[in-house]
Amino acid sequence: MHHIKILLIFSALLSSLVSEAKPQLSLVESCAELMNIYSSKNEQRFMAAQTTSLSESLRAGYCLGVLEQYAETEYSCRSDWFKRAEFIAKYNLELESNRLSDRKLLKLSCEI
Amino acid sequence: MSDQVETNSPNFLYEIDWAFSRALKVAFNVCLLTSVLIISLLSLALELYSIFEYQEGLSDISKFEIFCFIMVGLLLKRYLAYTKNCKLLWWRKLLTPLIWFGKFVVVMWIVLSFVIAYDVLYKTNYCNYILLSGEHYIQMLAFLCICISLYISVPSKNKRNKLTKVTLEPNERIDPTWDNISLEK
Repeated sequence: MHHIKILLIFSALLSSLVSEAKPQLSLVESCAELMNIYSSKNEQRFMAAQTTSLSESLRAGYCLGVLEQYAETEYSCRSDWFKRAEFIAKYNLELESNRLSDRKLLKLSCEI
Repeated sequence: MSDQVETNSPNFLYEIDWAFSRALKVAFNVCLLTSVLIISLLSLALELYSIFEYQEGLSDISKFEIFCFIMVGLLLKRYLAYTKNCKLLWWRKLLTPLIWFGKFVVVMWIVLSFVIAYDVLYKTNYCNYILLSGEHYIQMLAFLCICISLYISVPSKNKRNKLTKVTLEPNERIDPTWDNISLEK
């Protein structure tokens, strides 16, 4: 009975967190998640499948989708998606004042 | 005889100096333990925040985190079972695993500070690389430290409650002779 109470309190806490959630997908954060999954273009990190949550994989997929879509529309962009993701993810460590827009970041990432 | 110290020495300064150094030691000890405790609590809060980073409830939890939660639960249950039969103050039971975790976090920060120093000296980007792509490994290390802290925080066996000696009545006593032992085929 005691365990059931704890479980109920825990699930109530979780549902309260979910209700306050703001569905926002930041490109920089998403690419940082992609970097946590892949160690190179063709190789995943050790235990990546076990250590990645649903939210994190969703964001990583979003970053990969945006990068590939941008490469299809911009003919001048032919560089490796992993390098571009790494370039964008590095902006996660930058100060808020130095942040560039997503479009500008995508454009800059194509120039590497 | 020469190395014996007189206990009822009339030297007042000698007594004051001794007491002051002991008081200073206690004060430093309290300061250090409080710092370690604060570091430990902040690290735990940060760990929880990094798990529920996107505030999407169960979607934020990975398989590894579920496994770690179960492990922590089991180790906590073991710790409570061991401390239940020991003479320990409630706050000591609560603080011991936290202080151990704090010590591990301090060691991790020392190691990271070496990496930062190397980066500054040789203008490399290892620290950025660790922060960027080693998030999951840092989390694994933190969970490992939490589990080890809980495992090693069990009190000394000397602090176990003494077992009460049961004295049997004369008619209840068993005579250890061969007559009382029956061999069955």
